[in-house]
Amino acid sequence: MAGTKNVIQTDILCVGAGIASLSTALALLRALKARGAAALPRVTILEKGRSVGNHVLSGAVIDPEGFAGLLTDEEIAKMPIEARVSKESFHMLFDAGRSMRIPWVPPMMQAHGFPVGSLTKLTQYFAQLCEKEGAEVYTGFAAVELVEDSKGRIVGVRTGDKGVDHQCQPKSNFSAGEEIRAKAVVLGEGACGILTDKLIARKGLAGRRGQSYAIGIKEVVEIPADESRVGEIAHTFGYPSDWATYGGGFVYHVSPTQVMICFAYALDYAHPETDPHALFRQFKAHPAVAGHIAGGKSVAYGAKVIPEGGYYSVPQVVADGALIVGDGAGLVDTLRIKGVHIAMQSGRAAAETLADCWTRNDFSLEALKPYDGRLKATTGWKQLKRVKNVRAPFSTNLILGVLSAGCAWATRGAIPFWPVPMEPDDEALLPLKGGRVKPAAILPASPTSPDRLTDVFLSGTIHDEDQPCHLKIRDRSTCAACVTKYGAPCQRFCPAEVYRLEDGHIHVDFSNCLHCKTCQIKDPYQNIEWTFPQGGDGPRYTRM
Amino acid sequence: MAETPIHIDPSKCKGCKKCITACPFDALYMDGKLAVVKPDECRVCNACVKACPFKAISSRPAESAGTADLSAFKGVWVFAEQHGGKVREVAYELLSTGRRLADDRGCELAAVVLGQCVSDSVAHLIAAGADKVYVADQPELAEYEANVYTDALSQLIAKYKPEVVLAGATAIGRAFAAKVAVRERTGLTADCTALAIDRQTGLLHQTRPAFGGNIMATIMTPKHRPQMATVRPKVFKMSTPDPKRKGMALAEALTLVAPSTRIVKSSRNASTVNIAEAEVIVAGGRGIKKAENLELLRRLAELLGGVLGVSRACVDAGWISPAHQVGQTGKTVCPKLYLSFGISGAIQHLEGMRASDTVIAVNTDPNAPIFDVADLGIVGDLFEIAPLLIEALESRK
Amino acid sequence: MGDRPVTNDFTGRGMHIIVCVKQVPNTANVRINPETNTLMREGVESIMNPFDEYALEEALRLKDAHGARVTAVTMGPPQADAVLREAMARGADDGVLLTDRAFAGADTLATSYVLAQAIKKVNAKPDLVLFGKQAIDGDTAQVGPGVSEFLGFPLVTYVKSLRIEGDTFRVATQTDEGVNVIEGRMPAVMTVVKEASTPRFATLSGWIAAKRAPISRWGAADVGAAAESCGLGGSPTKVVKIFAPPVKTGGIRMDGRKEPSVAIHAILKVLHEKGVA
Repeated sequence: MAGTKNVIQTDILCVGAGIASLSTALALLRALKARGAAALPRVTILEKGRSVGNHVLSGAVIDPEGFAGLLTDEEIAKMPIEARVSKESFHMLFDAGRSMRIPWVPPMMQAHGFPVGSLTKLTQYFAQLCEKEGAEVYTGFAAVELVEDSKGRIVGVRTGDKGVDHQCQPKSNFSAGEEIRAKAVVLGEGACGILTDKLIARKGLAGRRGQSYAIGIKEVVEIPADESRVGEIAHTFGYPSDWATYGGGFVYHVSPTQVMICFAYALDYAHPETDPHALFRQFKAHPAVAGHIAGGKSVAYGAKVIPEGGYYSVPQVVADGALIVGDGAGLVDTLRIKGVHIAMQSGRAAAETLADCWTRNDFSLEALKPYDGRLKATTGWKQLKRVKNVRAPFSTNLILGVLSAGCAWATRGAIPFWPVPMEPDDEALLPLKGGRVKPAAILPASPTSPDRLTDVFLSGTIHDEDQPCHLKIRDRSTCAACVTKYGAPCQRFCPAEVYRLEDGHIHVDFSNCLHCKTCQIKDPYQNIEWTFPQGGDGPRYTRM
Repeated sequence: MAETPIHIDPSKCKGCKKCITACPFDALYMDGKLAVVKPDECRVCNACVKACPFKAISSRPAESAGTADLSAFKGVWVFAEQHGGKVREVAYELLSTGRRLADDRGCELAAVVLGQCVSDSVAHLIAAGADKVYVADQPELAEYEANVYTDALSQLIAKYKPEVVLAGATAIGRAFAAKVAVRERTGLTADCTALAIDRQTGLLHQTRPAFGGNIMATIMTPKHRPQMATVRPKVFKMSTPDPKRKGMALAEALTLVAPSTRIVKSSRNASTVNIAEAEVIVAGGRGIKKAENLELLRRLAELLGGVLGVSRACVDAGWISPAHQVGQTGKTVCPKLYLSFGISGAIQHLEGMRASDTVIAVNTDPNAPIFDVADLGIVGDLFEIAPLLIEALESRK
Repeated sequence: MGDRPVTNDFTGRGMHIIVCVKQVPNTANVRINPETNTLMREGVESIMNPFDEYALEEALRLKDAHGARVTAVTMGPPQADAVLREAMARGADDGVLLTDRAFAGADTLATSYVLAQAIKKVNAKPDLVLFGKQAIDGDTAQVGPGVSEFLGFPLVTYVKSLRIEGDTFRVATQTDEGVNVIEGRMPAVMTVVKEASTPRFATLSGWIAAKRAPISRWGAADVGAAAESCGLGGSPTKVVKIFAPPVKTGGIRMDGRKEPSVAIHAILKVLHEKGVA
């Protein structure tokens, strides 16, 4: 739909109100104020969720070095994350019944004293701090397209239309998307960001490898009050992952009454019958895990992908007119499973560069390039580099992965020194054995093990149902081939029961979508394109 | 700017935190060892005042004086809404409840009828329990008009001083009772689901849902009269009329203000009924299998004086418009009776009908979650049960 | 509070519509913890009362058609200014926030009183004062009618479509049986239902402008509200108890497959008990 009336102008535009964008905005305004700048830039942050944090999902145990230089001590003390890691344990799960506690926590995973809590709430807190500094956050607006000038420089974004019916006709409340232009665009879309990935493809910014992902499936469980366990965290690996897939779970006691429980599974898994949500439920049912949530009730649910490619998958983070921060640049230390602190550090690095640009009124590509150097000087980057080959060997098997990880740690990333190859996620799937999908074992639903549809409800996800389906199946005839060869795995890898094979046809219940992007990543035929639904739609995470 | 009405005496507060636990609005917190009120959250419900064992909390708002001489107000009144000379059923339901309240209080029950050519209704109202019927039978009252009806009822209230006035929470009742309440500067509680009266004090205990039915509140009007309440149709049961009951009719001739609006056109159209307001809903789900089968449920709804609802599956299948969809993404309903056929009861659906008073569910799957919220659950085939039910209802008519 | 109240004087400046809006919790998610009897507000967001969105839309359509000025008014705590910004982002011209400790604990009478005082101050003779049918937290539908009484303006409820010609209005209203078409003269108070026009979205540029727009903040003294008529003190009704509604747990279960007539009998019994059949 064409016809944007007037173009909105701003100075710095951040796409996505996640921790990386907000850190950029916060650090930028504070840096310029500290420098006594004569005028401050207009900083506009666009968020497609209905409220800040609605589309934010993470663990999270946060490495506090990320706050350095960003928040004051008082602000850190006032964060809505009350718990600090007090006790940690590591467990190897062998099968549905047996497990072993590893006597010591691998040094790189140690997190004693780290804040542990909801990234959603922390993001909301950051947004408040940003607005106090003068940044403006607008929620319910999806940036659907990057706007380039005639020379191919990114000059802004266009937001999506609203009020379009399921047949793509304008409704009575149709509202055309608008164009907003800026001197620089900060892309903080998070993992598998649509605009970011398109930019990387178009401008050839990809790293040595394409990005690889894991799916993280998480619940917040309310338990009978237990003050004594606050700060206790546990990590597991092994069951229910198979031996050649990087997967593991964690349980965090973040308050006397709340436990965060999550299972992450690499999306380069091979078995087409894999159902990550079912694995999550098996994980919760394991005796070593069940004790953490005994007597409780799942009250919130969500899922999102985590970038796992690490160092070799990080794209170039500077383009003409744009900077990439946070998960969109794959800045996650996959061994420690920590990316929040690196996101914050990337935000600071971007902010310092933008502050220089603003002072000199020069936002050219040359002026933006120093962001790259600043990013690579951060401690987070160094951690990323150290574990650059830790993840890939796990895709062969667990033992090799552990040995490799230990090796990389011991040699500070020197060995292995070659990039261990990783198969792209969508190419890893093996065909169905025997041509049929085995009927999945039915786990009886319980307050701490809701079925998938109930979990979807707990995510709060809601979409205007009278709109075009945002999940585009490119070629329906491909679906038939996929059903035969792989058994329509979309039904199983989607954590929100969006895809349903009925009478030989794939039904798409798009209004269940959690915006996790798994379908786009894992589809073996790359037949699904994730596009933006109406701004404001999607999950409503409030304490993830 | 006024002070916050809730005052915590620091010399008496011992930091026991009982007030924090008692507060339903999370409006209290500890500042060191003392409890402090968050004025923006406080709704001045006084739960903390009652909870404090040390009497450290007091509530000191500027108070209105209330109605002078409460003892002059006697009697329970029921506003008998009528259309075209016929009194609506809700009035009879209210008279049954009014009778109980009047007996509990030891006072008279009266019905009030405003309209034209309404004298026939008197006998029915007395048979339904009224000791008196006040009738204003005038051409100006033929059709409801907010200003005129408000004037009429206010005049009668000023003349006779009832202690309690009840009205049906219909489209008319709710609006006009609200205007009367303001004119009388008294309290009105809407959509009551339970009513009880204290014999000694005459205080009416009014219970009603709030927050979309997710919480219940009990409300009183201690210092103002009359105590007014509206009640939704079908919430209270109509008792059997007693034609032998004796009562008195009093004709009132009122001088009324002019109407402020006029009805230009009036049409009856059942298809525009909003299921969110319906008292009886017959709902179908995936088990219906075909669009044509919805006719079965439509007929049943008609026989029960209700409307047809559906779960999302039927709308997705294109069998019916989304206007009938019950559920998280459809409409939230709160009927007296929800009768479901072939609905499994996924939580998205349950969210939309959770506030139903009585749920009857029919499903072939004994593990269907709908049975967890059904007062009466029938494991069976809707294509057997529904026609039999229709037959039974038709034979009664 | 610190802000100097911004007085807006609208008399004699063309059509003027006042829309009363309310910030409410998204009640779909509000629950009471049955053990502790406390409201569980974790994760509950504040929104503009959905019915008020429809009232606002009617006002904005009149603005589109007749160039009317639209003023949004709300009574609430300081953070209620968010609904005024939302109203302005959609197209309302002004926002008035009535906020004062003295207003706390108000029932529908005290709320109607304060709103009426404020409306008189904004404009003694507006064309229309619009409300949503009811607020989804209180669910009373009493404030619109209450304000009409305090202002002495005609009242029309359940409006689903609205037209104006000169100083006359012509509206279609939803009744229990169908539709009524009603005419009358302005000024008038109306309550609007969800069968009215679909509310428009606020645009990004609308939000950007709304963020910068001034909002008037008035307290009891500014609107001349008598202390004993505001807030809890001015409320004849008092909440004496809040509790959780009875939780539905499965009741009687029957097998209707072998002997459906038994099941029919059971159903009819329930229908009779409930007075439905």
